[in-house]
Amino acid sequence: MQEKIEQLLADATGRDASDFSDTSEDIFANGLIDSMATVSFLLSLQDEYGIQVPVSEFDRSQWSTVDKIAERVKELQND
Amino acid sequence: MTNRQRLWRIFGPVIVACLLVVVVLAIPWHSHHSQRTLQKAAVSISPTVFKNRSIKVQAMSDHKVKYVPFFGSSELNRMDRFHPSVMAARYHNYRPFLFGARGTQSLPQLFNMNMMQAQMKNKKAVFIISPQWFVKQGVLPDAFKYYNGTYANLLWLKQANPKSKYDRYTAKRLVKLLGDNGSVGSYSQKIAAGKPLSKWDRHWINFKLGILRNEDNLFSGLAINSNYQRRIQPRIHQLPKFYNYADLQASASRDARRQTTNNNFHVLNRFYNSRIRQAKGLRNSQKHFSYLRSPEYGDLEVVLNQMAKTHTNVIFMITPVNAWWEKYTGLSMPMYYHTADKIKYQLRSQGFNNILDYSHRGDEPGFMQDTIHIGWKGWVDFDHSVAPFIEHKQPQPHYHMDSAFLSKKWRNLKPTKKNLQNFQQTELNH
Amino acid sequence: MVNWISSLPNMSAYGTPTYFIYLLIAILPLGIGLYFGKRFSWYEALISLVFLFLMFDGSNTTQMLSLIVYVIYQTCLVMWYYHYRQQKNASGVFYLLVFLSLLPIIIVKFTPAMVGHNSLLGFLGISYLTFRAAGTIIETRDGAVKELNWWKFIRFMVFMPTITSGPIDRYRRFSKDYRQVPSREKYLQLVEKGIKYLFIGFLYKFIIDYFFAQRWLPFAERMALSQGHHLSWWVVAVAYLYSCDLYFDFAGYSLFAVAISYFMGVETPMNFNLPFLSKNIKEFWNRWHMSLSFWFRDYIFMRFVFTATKKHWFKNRNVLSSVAYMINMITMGFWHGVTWYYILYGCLHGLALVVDDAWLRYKRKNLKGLKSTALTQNVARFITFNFVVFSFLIFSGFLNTLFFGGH
Repeated sequence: MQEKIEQLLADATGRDASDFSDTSEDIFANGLIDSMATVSFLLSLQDEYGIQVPVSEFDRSQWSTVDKIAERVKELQND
Repeated sequence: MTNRQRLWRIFGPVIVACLLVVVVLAIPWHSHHSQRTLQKAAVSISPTVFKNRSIKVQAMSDHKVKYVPFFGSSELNRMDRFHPSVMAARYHNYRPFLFGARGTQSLPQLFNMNMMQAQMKNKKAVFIISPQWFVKQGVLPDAFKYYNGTYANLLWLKQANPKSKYDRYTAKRLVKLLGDNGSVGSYSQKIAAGKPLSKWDRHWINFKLGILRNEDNLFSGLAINSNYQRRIQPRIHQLPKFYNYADLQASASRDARRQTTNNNFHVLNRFYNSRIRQAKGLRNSQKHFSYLRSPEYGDLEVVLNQMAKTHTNVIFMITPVNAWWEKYTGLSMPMYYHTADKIKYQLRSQGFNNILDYSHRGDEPGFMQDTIHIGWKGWVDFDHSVAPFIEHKQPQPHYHMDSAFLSKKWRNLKPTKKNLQNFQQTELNH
Repeated sequence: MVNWISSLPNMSAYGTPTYFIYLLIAILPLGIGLYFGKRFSWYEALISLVFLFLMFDGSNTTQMLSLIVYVIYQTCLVMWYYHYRQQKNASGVFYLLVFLSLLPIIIVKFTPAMVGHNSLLGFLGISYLTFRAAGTIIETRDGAVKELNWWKFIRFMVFMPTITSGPIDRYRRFSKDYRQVPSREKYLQLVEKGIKYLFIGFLYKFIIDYFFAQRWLPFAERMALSQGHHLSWWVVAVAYLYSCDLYFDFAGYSLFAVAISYFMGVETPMNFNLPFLSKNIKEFWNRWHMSLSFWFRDYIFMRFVFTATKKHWFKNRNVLSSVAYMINMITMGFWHGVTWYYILYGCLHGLALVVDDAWLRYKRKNLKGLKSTALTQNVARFITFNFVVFSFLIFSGFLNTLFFGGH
């Protein structure tokens, strides 16, 4: 799943997937992703995994690394 | 790390810092200002010097140099080479200590004088009154606060006598200007109501005064502005070595002519450029000004009372307005002269007889530097009258204060001959 | 003793050093309680009330009344919507509720522009309370707010350290802090940080800002005005001095609010993070008045982009982001007040974000060789800082005074 998420992040930001290869790195703190890209990333998550992520649920501290995102997606899929 | 160590690491520095502050403020620091500091402070016309005590007290009781208090307002800031501070440095055996800037009207001066009450006893002083102070509202609360701090207020409250009409009046004015909040407000309310301060109040005042005195001793001598070096000292040698009134008048005229070339108001070029040239709507803007009714008359009365209390021998000057300018702005000159008459009446009928009334002299070219402030020839003339008053022995004045001048009736009285006569017969005690 | 009480002044929040003495003494029992793992809610409510009272007593009593009415009104709205949302979720109701929640501030902000005097509804801090209330309604709709209790909501709204000028907290975050007592270890960390912030705040607000606000800025303003009603070099001085004044005043204030919150065991978010070192305008808004800009980002920008993308309003992503930036910043301009200079300020920052994005795209495409070095970074900082200073000159309203003699 991590790889898929890296790919989605790369699509949303227009960067290379390798930029996100460190799955424990804080993607907000190092400026890899801005608010625009965040929204398209959220939408692509919805399409990809069929989950609903309300924008206000998107608490940045819980979605800040690729690992955390994978974890949250799994949780939401199980809901 | 144990909890105790942790707590100490967090709070230790804060506790130490607080203790240091308390220690610094509680040690009765001895204040001593150098001669140089006094000299600079005397022409700094800064609110810090005005609001605090240590510098002026030391200056007024100095044995080497004779400092004479010059109370006034913004005209003191017109420092051309004929300014009293320059003239005194060149020709006289005293140094003016300037108290006043824009906004220091009677009431701030009262608190200022009260701080050096003992040092003013049986001494001489100069007091410059501007009729412009006597507006309907009197001194503005912001100006009052700017030149008057807690230190001065508490020092005054400490000695205020609830039985004195004068002190009750002042206390009422304090409440009016500062509001009834805070300790100063509530103590003033007591005095105004004729009630004495309680023991608790006095303890509190003494405690606060202790801290404020230390702050004053420690800090008010620091960072005094460089007026002396910039605006006084370089001008001293621009005056001829020997005093000659006619020559000085002539050079003052010459200076004035050279520096008032770009306007028809006989106003300093620089002033005209920065304050008048661009401004709009000034023509006839002062048509409805009146200085005849004002709380300032009552405020002036408490200042007079203060000087009577200290037996200070004082010479007054009433400032003129620039005649060309007033024609343009439409200020009523009869009203202006009446204001001067009312002020003089209040002074004379209580024994303050040394008065230089310049109110009629605003139409002499070179007498005024700008619209309402004297300069050049005005300063030469002023110095010519004030210096002999200070340097020569004067007869002891006999003041007889009359609290009728605190009344609303006086404040609002139109000073026609009839009204003044009437006031004398019905209100005054002699 | 009675005299001491009667001499209690009207105390604006964090206005004087004396205020801190009273405040710290008042919250000391709370701190001791938290240290021993107890939260004295009733005591906290009591001192909050006392200090709110001191803020609005004396001549500000109408403001106090407005505040009370306002809080009751917002609480009713939020509680009603929360109960409604448990059963239904109609968009119309949601928009109506958001509108009703914003209504007071809309009235207050538009009144001066319409009738020329301030609205009676207003009170110090109304904008900040509006953010808290409206944010809670929005998150309730999303289902993110899972429990809502009227008492806790009121406490959140009028949380004393932050009431007049933020930082703007979120209900979910606040109530989480509030439900639990921090561990002793955690609380000591908070206190340690709080003391540091408090003292930096003193340095900013009472020492550095004294020079900017009391000495230099008024002098420069006077000089600029005395030159006449046109631009001069003094106006440039005003711009820089005002920017520094704004930063040290507001950052100092925010540090106080954060520090006092920490002492009370609540981790209010930070508001400033060395904003003048930002290398671009986007970074600037991640460092300047953060709690406000994040509020706008989360509730206006992201939501707009989310909806617009889902409904395919725009074909081009860059057009979408530009429109979103403009909406976001112009709304922020209006929030500051309905005057030409606030709105222009918002437009300028919106444009700056658009330009910043365009530049990034251009750089990525055409300037691949441009390496990020200390030099390029400092040039970026320089440009950003000067743009911000220019925008603050407009924001200050000084030009309004200068050109039109208004206030």
